Amino acid sequence: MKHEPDNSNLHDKSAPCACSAAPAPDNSTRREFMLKIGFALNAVAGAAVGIPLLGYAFSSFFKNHELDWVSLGPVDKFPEGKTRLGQFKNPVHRSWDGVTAEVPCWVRRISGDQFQVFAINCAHLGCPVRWFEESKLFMCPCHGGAYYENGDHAAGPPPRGLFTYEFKVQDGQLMILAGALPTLAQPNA
Amino acid sequence: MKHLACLFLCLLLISGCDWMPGRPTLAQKWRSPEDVVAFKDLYAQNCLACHGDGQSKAGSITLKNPVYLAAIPRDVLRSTIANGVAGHNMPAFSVAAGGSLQDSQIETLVDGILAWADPKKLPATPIPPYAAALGDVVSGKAAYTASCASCHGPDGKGGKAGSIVDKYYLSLVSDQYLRSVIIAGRPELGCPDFSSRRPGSPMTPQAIADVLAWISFQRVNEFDQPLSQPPAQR
Amino acid sequence: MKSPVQKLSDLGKDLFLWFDDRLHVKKIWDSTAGHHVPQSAGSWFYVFGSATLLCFMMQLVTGIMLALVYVPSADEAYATLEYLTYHQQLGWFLRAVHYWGSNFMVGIMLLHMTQVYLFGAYKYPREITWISGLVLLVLTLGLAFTGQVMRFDEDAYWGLGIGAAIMGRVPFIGQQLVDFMLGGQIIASETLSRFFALHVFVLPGSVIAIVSLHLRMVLTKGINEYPVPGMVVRRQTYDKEYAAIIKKEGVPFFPKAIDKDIIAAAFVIGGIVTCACVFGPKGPSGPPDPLQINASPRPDFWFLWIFSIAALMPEQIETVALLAGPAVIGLILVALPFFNGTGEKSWRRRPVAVIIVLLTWIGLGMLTYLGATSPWSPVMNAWSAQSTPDAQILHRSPLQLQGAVVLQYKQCRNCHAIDGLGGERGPDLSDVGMRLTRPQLTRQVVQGGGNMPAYGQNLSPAEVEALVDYMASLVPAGVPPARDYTLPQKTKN
Repeated sequence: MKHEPDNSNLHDKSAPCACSAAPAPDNSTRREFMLKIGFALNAVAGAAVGIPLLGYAFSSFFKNHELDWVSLGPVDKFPEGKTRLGQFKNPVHRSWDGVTAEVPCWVRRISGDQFQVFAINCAHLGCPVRWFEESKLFMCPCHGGAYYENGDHAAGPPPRGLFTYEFKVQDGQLMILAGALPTLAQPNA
Repeated sequence: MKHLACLFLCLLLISGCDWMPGRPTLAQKWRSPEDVVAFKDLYAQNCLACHGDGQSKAGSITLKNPVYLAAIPRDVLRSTIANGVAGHNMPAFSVAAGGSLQDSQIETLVDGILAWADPKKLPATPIPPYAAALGDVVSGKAAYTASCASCHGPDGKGGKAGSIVDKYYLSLVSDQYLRSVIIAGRPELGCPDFSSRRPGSPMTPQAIADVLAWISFQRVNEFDQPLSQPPAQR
Repeated sequence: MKSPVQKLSDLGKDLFLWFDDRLHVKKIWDSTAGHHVPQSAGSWFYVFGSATLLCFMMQLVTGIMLALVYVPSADEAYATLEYLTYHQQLGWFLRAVHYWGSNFMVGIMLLHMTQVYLFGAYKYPREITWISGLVLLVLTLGLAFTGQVMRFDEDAYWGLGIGAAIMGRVPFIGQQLVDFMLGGQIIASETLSRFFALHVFVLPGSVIAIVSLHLRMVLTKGINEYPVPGMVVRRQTYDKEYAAIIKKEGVPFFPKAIDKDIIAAAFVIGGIVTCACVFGPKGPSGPPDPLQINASPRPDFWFLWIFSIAALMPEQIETVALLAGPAVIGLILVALPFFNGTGEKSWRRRPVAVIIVLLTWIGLGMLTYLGATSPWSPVMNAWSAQSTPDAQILHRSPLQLQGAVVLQYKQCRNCHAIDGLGGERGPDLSDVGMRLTRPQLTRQVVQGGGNMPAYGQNLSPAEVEALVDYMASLVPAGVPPARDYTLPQKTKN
């Protein structure tokens, strides 16, 4: 069988269409009107489905962050002058989150009720930074970012120091304001 | 016959792929750091760099030293690993002290290190106690001259083995560390243990305490950072 | 009297005609599989497109198989992965085929793209073919990334963190984009659910739709003829010339030009299965547990080059490069058939095209190699695990030996190797005494600089002294130590 590639369109060769009977001329305006009504009705129906659908899918654009105070445990857990790993269950979590709801953070107790609570996420691209007590540095395993004991940028690609959580001491408990993954767009918590 | 072979091959493919080299075995399954329980791995991950393992040498005292292993009490070894030596360059490894090892892992390390002890390689002389009070500074000088001066120089400031009274050196090491080295030596680097510095005349426990007192006496407390263990007897 | 065989064959013919009358099977077949292609297109260089499609179909089948067991829940996914890998009969094999199938698919797709570019197949009148191909590339990379998330282990968890961190760099709507990507405020259940929806519904469906368009273009505008140097594409004449080629040497794709595709198909499947059998599936590595802070996340093979770029890009332009870079490259690629839609097709007459292809592949290759070795990453346990060669320990004073201890204790080894052992972020220190004088060593240790943290606050004077004394002793035998040439030199004699 021979054919031009340009003409290989199936519809060109399909059987003659059965719908070629001309509509009665007096019907044409009515049909046009019906068609317009049809389009209008569908536009409304489409909006009725589509707008909630978009609202559902893009709900993050219309929602403010929910943050809450969570406890990292008694203050005594953190010796003065040291930096230790803290952990908390994310205040916004689902029962099917599994281990992902548990979030670590680095707690530096400067003295007394003076703390610094750092996010585990590197300010560069979010990898988990590790604390080295001996050299008093945080090091990132991904691209080699390093931070000093007070969270300041020490070396490598991070554009800023470590992200920090707001904290308070309440009834002997160290509390932080947490609930969201810290990024450059929203560094606090 | 051919069909049978084909059928066999298919069955093999359906069920028998399981012996392929790419099949992950349970042994390759991810293990958390707490699940590392073999002494060899624990030692290689945490201790090797500073203490060596007999084959490889390192800056700090080797633990594969029969005299050292005979001297150190088990609980001292354990607590040193767990809590480190504050103010000196031995980190604390236990989770409770901010390190990364569980108590059971530290126990494994203690067992493994002590298992290196080799009574056959010990000198005939009884091993001096691991810890003791400082001795007398003046007799220490004499004991030093007798046992150590041939390598470290007449006043401790040099000779072929380098100074042991350097103020910086003394501020970095504890008296106990100095005592351990005086007892166990650094045979891997050429420094003999207490029994063989002078052939036929091992250092007595008193001489060891005296030499330590003489060395420790020369500590200079001139640094902006306070020494965490001020020498007890000056 | 007809024989039973003949009767049967007649019955078959009748049945076929009955169906053909209703479904127009023959017409569809002739206009698709039977469409005429230039004989020259039956070349080994033209097998990559069909091979990519084959990979995709394998991914569909193996993906459905995996979905029979996998549970897309942050709580359960890891357990089902372990079950698939270690307990389900041949689960490991399915995972391996799916993993290697994706690697092959991206790789062959890139080969296909390279071939199309070098053979000028994107030129007039095949612009839409090219652009739909670009969309397919993006979708396939999307499938690869979301697939990496399906393997919900620590690499997936922190990979999502990296994705979120990049989103967070978008100006104005960064936070909303992060939340949109994660489906919430943290990486958790809804994150996995939406990546699952993308991976198994949205992206494969889009691929099927765009592949249809891609193939439709092959039918309407034909397969590119094997380019001949000197045959120049002109908008006015090309269609006629192509029609002439088809008329003169056109052959039906099936069965006259498909032979090499079929052979290539067998090799691709064989390659995937061989890799699956020999190398097995990837991971899962540690559980997606944020508390496992010892994670050292690495992306899958085809994203290693991006990992490298993120490490090597100067900080000042990184955000711009991460966000605008892909957009600019995408725009150039989309615009390519419009600003470069005519002229020579053969790569023999397009040296610039050849250079671009070579530079791209070499660049990607180098970045991938760097990403795999990641010399910029500190070796997190080098300080306590990495031994020192005898040459750097023997014949040193007690102070220098303490310096060697300080060098370990203060984690210098995490970034600095000695004799090749240790981190590679900073220079190897095994002969540093030959390069830096004591004052230079002291200054570098205390003040840092050149991407090294300042250690001044964390080292006592004695530690600095010991460390510098030790490093100054790291001089190869027979080489003089470093000297400061700005000072007057003592002359012998």
